[in-house]
Formats: sequence, structure tokens, C-alpha cells
Amino acid sequence: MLSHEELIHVIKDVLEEDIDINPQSSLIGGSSSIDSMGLVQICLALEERSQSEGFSFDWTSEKAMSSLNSIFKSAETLTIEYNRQLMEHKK
Amino acid sequence: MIIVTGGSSGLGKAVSEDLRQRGEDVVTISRRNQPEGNAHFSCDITNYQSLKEVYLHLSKSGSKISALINCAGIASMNLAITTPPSVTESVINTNLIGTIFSNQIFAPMLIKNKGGRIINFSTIAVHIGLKGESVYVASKAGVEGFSRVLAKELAPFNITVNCIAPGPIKTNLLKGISDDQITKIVSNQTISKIMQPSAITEMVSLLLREESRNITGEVINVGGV
Repeated sequence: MLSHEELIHVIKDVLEEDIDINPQSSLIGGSSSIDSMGLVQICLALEERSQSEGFSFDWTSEKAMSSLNSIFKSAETLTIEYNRQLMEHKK
Repeated sequence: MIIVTGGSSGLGKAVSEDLRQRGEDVVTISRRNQPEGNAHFSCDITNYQSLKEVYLHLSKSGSKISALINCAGIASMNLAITTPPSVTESVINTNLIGTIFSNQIFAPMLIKNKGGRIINFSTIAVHIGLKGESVYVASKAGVEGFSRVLAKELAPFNITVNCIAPGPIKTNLLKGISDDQITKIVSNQTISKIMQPSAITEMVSLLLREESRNITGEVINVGGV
């Protein structure tokens, strides 16, 4: 399972910056300090991690791109989606 | 490794064979099965999930992709108002949507590599507004627009995105087009001659070179317009 702390570590690692981020921080939109290119890199890092856990994290679903329920709404929602897909794979 | 879609026939085949001769590691993707010996995935590029499976296979096997060349395409000569809906859908699906899917799915492999080249295929008919190719031209104009925007989105990752727009080249795509029509199309080119497939493979090779790293978002009309 991916913890909030691990995701935040992944984000900081990918962006090579010690940005101020917590589980409730927005990953997209005006209040986010992550640009769209950074978001792509975070997704690729999560995909790489998922492959080492035996599944492939899908960040291109309709839900991912939905503005209301986007998985990128916050670090927390992204963690939840990652773990949901992990659990789905383990079923 | 270089991915070539539509690599088992026409220009795609010429491009993949030329790249292999130049010593490149090439993997082709097309609907057809390929004789053993060459790296190939049999897959319809209009099927997002099938393409995704190719991506996952390559990604899991640790393949590093340096370029994506989207040659897969179909043509249909017909007046706009007499083109059957099934033909319209098929041309748009393969040429435009298939190309978009391929870019969306494989570009992340280039991003992981922090650089690379994407070459999409258009046609000189877009620029000259060729009568009798409205749907085909619409699909390729879409590819040009998509490529221009993608070039901007991928520039921060040192990835260039360009279109090659050939005139008539002797391949199966020209089946059903009379010599008269071909002569008329060619007369619109700055260099008024029918190009050989080598004119395209050379252009591909040029865009793959390190010296082409600052060429992006362009449509290169082979033969000039």
C-alpha cells in the first residue's frame, strides 16, 4: 500500500524540490504548485512503482480527468486511487 | 529502440527497413502479422486498450524508446458528399484517432527517457486542398494540429514532434488514383516529380539526428509546396 508520506516523497523526488505539500494539497488547479508536466512525471513514477508491485497504475481513466472527482484533486485522493487499483489487482 | 506504426506495409515498411539497415533497433506495430525475425506487435492502433497492452509489454520489459514514428494510415479518394459514412469513420479513426492514441500511449516512454523524437505523417494534400480527398485531408489536418500542440507540451522534456507530409509516393495508398491525377498533384509540388520512398526515409533519418533537436512543431512537405 502507498502511504501519504510515500506519495509526498515521490512527488518531491520527481520535482527535485522541497515543496510545501501535505495530503490535502491540490495537485492540479490554480492553488497547486505542480505544473502539468510535473504531474505527468509523478504519474510515470507511480506507474513505475506499480509495475514493481505487479500491476500498472492507470492514470488515463475518465475518472482521472474528471474535474469534480479527479484523482489529482489532492495527494490524498491520488493515494486512495493508487491503493484502489492495487487492491483491485490483488483480488 | 524506435517504434514504427504501420510498419508492415507501404511507407511504414520502407521506414522500418531503412532504420534497420542503419542499425537501429526497430519494433513495428500493425494489424498484420509479421514474419518471424523482426520485433513486431500485431495490433490495431484504433484500439486504445490493445495499444496500451503493447506499451505495458515494452515498459515492463524495460525497453527504452528513443523515437516514435506513426506511419499507420489509410486513404480514400472520394468526393466529400459521396463518401459513405463507414469510410469517413474508418479514415478518421485510423489516421487521426489512431495517431492520437499512439502519441498519448507511447509519449510517456520518451518522457521517461527525458528526450526523443516523434514523427507523425500528414500529406501534401492538406496544403494544396486536393479535390476528392476531403475526408483524408481532414484526418491529416487533424494530425498536423495535434502535432503542433503536442510539440509544445513535450518541449520541456526534450522531445520534438514533427509531421512529414509526402506527396504521391509509389505505395498501396495510391491504388485507385489514376496517373493523370498523380501528375496533377505532383504539379503542385515545388519539386514537380514523383518521390520515391527513399525521399521519406531520408527525411525521417534527418529528423532523428541530434542536429534536428531544435526542429519541432513543423510540417515538412516533401518536395515543397
